[in-house]
Amino acid sequence: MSSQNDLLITALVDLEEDEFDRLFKDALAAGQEPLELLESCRKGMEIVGKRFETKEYFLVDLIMAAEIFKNASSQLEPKLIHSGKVDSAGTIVFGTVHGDIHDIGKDIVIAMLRGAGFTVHDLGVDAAPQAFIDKVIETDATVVGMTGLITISFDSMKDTIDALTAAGLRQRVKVMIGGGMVNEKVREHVGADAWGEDVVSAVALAHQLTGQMTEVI
Amino acid sequence: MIINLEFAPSLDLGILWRFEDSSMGLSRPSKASQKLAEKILPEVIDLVKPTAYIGFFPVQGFANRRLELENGLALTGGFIAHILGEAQEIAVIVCTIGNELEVRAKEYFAGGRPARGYILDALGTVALGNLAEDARSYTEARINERGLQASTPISPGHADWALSEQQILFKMLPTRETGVLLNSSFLMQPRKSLTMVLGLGKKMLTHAEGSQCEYCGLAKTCTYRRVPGDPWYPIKVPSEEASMKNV
Repeated sequence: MSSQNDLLITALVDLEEDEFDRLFKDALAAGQEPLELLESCRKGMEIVGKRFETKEYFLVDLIMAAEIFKNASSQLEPKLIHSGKVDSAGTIVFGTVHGDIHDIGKDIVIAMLRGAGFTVHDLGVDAAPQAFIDKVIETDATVVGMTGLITISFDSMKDTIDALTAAGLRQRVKVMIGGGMVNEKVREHVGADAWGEDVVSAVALAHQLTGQMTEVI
Repeated sequence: MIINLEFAPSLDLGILWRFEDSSMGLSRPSKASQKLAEKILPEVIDLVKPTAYIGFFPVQGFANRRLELENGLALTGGFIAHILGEAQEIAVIVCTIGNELEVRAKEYFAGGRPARGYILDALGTVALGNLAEDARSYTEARINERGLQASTPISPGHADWALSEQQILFKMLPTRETGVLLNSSFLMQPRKSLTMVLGLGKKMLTHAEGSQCEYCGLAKTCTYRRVPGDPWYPIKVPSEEASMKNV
C-alpha cells in the first residue's frame, strides 16, 4: 500500500475532509486505479467503525466519515462501472415500518450499508408490509432491514415478517431489525433472524446474513 | 385558561456531547465534530422557535388507577397513581420548537450532507429538552406561588402510561391553539414537540426528588436521561424568565 494511500486513509479516519479531498483529487489526477482508491476508502471506513465500537468516536463522526466516503465513491462509481469492476456486497430492502415516521437512524444505517458496498433500496418511513414484499420481488433482495423507534413498530415488524411468509418469500430473505427498544426478546417475538443495537452492528449483520462472514449470529 | 409562552432559544454543546456519548461520560467529542457543531450552532439558533402552552385543569377524584378530571376526561395507569394520585389539579404542557429545523435537517439529508442534518437534529433535541425544562420550571414557580407543590413532570409513553393517552392531552390543549398535531400513531408534528403533565397538590413527588427517567427500563444506559442531581443535570431553580404572549 503506497504512502499516498496511507495518507488518504488517515485523512478519512481523522475526518479531515479538506485534506482528504486534496489527496483524492491528486490520486485521480495521477491516474491511480479507481478500485484501489475505493479499497483504501473502505479500509478507512473500517477503522472509523472500530473507533465507534470502542466509543472513541461518536455517531456523528461515523456519519461524517460516511459523507466523505460517499462523495469519493460517487466520483469513482462511473469509472468502476465503465471498467466493469463494480461488485455489490448484496441487495437489501430497508425501511422504517408502518406506523413509525422516524427516519434519521434509518438514513444513517443505509449510508453505512452503502459505504460497505451493499445495494440498498430505501422504502422510507411508515412502510407497509406490502411495500417490503413488492420491493423484495422487484430487486431479488436477500436481506430485509426494518427499523422502528416506538413500541407500536414491533407489531408492524411482526406483520411484515408474517406477510413475507404468506407471500412465500420468507425462505428467500434474512430479516434484521433495529432501533430504540429492539432487543433479543423483540427479535424472537417478531420472528426476525437478527437484531442490531447500533449502526456498526447493522453492517456486520448484513455481512453475516449475506454469507460473507462465517461467525454465527 | 391556556397560557402561551415564548422562550429564548437555549442551547448547550455540553449537553449535546452528553447525549451523544454512549460511554456515559468517558469519551470526548472529536475535533472534527466539535468544529461542525460550532459551525451549525448559529443556524440552529435562527431556526428554533421555542413555544410552550400550559393549561390548568381541576381534578375530580382518583380511583382504580384513574385520575378523573372535572372536564370529564381521565388519565389512567399505575404511573399516574404514583405521581399524580394526590393531585387536586393538573397542568398540561405542550412544548415545540417549530418545524423549521426539521425541514432544514431533511434538506441536508436529501442534499448529501447527512452530518450537518444529524447535528442540526441533535441540537434541536437539546433545544427542545431545554425548552421543556424552562416551561416546567416556570410552571412550578407559578404553582409554588399558590402555596402548592408541583409534581415531577410525566409524559405519555413513559413507564406504564400508554402513548395512546396523548389523545387525551390533545383534547385539553387543542391543536388550533398550539399548532402541534397528533398523527394516528400518536406521534407529534412538528416532530420536535413534547407534552408533559404536572400535578398540583399539598404534597407531591417534586422534580427535585424524582424524575420519570428513573422509572424507565433504559435508566441505566440511556444517554438522554435527565435525573436531577446527575452531574450534567443540576436542579434548576423555578424561573421567572419567559415572555407571556397571552392569558
